[in-house]
Amino acid sequence: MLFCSEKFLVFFTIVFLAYWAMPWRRARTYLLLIASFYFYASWNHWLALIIGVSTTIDYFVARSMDATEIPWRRKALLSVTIVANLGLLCYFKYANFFLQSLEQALHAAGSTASLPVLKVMLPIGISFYTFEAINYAVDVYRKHVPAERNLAHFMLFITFFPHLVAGPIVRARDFLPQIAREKRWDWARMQLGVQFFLMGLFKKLAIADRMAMFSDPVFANPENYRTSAIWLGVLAYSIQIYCDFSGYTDMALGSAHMLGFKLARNFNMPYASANVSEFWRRWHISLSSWLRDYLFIPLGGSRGTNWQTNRNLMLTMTLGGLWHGASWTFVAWGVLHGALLIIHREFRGVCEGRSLLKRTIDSAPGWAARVGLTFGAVSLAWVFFRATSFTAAATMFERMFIFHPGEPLPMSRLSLAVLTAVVLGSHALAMSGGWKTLSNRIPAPALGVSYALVLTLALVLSPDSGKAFIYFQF
Amino acid sequence: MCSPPACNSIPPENQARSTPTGGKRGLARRGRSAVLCAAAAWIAAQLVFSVAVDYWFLELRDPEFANKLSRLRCRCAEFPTRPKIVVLGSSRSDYGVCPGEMAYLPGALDQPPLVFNFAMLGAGPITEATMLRQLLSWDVRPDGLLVELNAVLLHQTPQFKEENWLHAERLGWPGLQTLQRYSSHPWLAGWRWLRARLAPCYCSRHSLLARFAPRWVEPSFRQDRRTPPDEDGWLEHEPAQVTAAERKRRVKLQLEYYAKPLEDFSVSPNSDAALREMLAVCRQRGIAVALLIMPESSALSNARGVDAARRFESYVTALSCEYSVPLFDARGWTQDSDFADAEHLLPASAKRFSRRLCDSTALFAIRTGRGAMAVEHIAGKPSASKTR
Repeated sequence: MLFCSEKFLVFFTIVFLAYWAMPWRRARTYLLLIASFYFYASWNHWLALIIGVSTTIDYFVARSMDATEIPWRRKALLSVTIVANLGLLCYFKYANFFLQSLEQALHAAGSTASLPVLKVMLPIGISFYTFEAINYAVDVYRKHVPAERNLAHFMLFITFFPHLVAGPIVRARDFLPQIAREKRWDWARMQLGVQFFLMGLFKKLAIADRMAMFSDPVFANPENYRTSAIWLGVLAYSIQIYCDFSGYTDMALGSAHMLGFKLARNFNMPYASANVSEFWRRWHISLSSWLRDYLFIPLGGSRGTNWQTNRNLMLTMTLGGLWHGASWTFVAWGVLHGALLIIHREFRGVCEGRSLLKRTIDSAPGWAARVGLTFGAVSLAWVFFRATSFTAAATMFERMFIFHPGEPLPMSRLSLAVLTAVVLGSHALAMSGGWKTLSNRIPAPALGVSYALVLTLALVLSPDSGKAFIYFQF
Repeated sequence: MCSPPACNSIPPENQARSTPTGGKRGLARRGRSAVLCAAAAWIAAQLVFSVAVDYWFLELRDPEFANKLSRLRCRCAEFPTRPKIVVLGSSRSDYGVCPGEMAYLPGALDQPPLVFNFAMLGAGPITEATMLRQLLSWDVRPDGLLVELNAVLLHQTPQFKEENWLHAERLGWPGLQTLQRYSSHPWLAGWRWLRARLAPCYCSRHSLLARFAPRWVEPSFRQDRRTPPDEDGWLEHEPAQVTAAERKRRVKLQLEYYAKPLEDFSVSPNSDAALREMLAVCRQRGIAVALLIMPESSALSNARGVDAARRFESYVTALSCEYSVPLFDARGWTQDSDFADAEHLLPASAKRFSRRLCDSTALFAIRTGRGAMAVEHIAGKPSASKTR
């Protein structure tokens, strides 16, 4: 059930009306819980059972952890919950990947052994809710949050449908208090929710899905396209993945606001970043902060030597890449980002002793050049992320950097140019503060009409084939 | 593309208090006004758009129907006194009947009729019935109808039926009512129709973009790249010639596609009822009707079982007799090389075929009587008028 589908519209309308019609807080919680399970079960009933069972186990383990003060017992319980969650993730998501990789390694070593392929279905959103369960367990272990006493509340924290499938990855300390809080109808909040939802819908339907019309054919058969088409295909994919994922997040935030919940912000104009480090503070913020808090810092963070910090960075980004998908291309993407972060870190060290260089890169043209360079590097890295194999990625790079004739883009470039300009213009408006000023000063009726216009535009521009959100596969 | 500005770390309930202007009540008022205005503007826009599409921009709802309707109206305005003969049928007629070659009908006619090809791709009896209803609702009253009977489309199964490719959302109200009578899921057709009225900007988006911004449309939806029908509604087959090998390939594909209706032919109750409704409406309104079986290649004829062929022939003959309408069976009028595949005539062959059809339909002569149009079966009894 995609957020941009009619089915979701009907589902959400029913939930929304029933939710606000109910005067009892507890009943509302149960309603949301049932709705969330129904939402998840609409993909597969058995997967709903899996998430139900794993959440229940996490709940009881956390309660046990909270009930004891014995360090080794707490540590053992933490290990149980982490192993259980990662075990589920590994089984469903990585088992076949590891088996195939092992088989390839054995073949390379001369063996003819053939390993079985497991027939498992990847539970949608498993990477997201596994991370939520882990951060909850770790926070309870660290005593940052008390273990939740109400099973329904805990289940809703994990399964709340707006964030269930593709995040943002919520933290228990942010979300659990919201469940317990009394909700009152608030028009201002409703407006905010509508605004978020419409913005996300526009990003998804009018931009991301349209960009896919350029990028999909290019990535599917790069050998057919000319150099300029490949570059434009990569540009289209860079915009597509951003608008697809941030569009989903906006719709998730909007739906949550309309139900009286606030989810964590996940994007902050990442393509306006002047370096890769900043990019990761603006892109998929809930994941990067999770990786920082639960992986990078426990590994030692930047407290050790330069080499240790760089190692931790590389390890974190490599695992971050693997988190996205069970494929070596994702690992390569993570390694590439790790390398970029290390290069940036070293370059920052070089700049510190050279004031002229620092002044130059901090100037407006220097900043623009850095933004361009960062966007270019991130876009090139997306090739690994999107390509189905290293061969396909190599073909893309070869045709990008060595001139090749071939077919042009499958569609007129006009819509690509206009939509890219819309994205750039929106960034410029937001960065200058104009967006905020505009939305505060514009009369409410005009704002309402602009919402209707955005919705109309999103629907008119949506291509024929509704595409699933890219991050649903993770 | 940025996110809405209010998504900073301040919780919304506190944002109200922390905003310097208006306070919480002001923000709530502003929020309510914005949301309600958005809903009102959206509903109003859809309503206006829906009415505009239904009455003034029909091409945004159903480009194929609107295109032919506007051409037919032009021809009627050009020759207001000529009797109108409208051809209803499938792609066989769409490609095969060239009214330009039927500009005159010999015989006892006061003035030559205006023949117009209103055939549609994939149109069987149900589509033909809906098209007739739609034409009448648009105040286009033909004096004569030439209705194609396509064996493949008379046979309808859950897997192979007109409903699967007939767009309910494109129809007007009279067309929908007709469709619902013969649909296995009338509520679904109704929902699709209603949805197109509730959110016309979404349901008609491809036509809208194709009309106003063709470069934004996916190639398969571009209307400007499609060959339009000529001024008499004839759709010229492209390419104009095909090689024997290409024809063979296409025939093979079609035989696979039509395998089921060819082998187990039967007239589905819905097809039969739709045809009968159409004939009854014509009789009631004094519209002359003739039935037409379009040419097909020998591969298609041979693929039809003996029993199937017998069933089809006995059905169409019975229908012709029952309603006293002439039947023209043109299956033997052409050679295999006249086709682009198993059933669609190439342009040159279509012209030849149309001339012959013109001569034959002299039997289906229409002339002005005392204030009303009437059909005259020159050859006498309808069954005797069956020609091969």
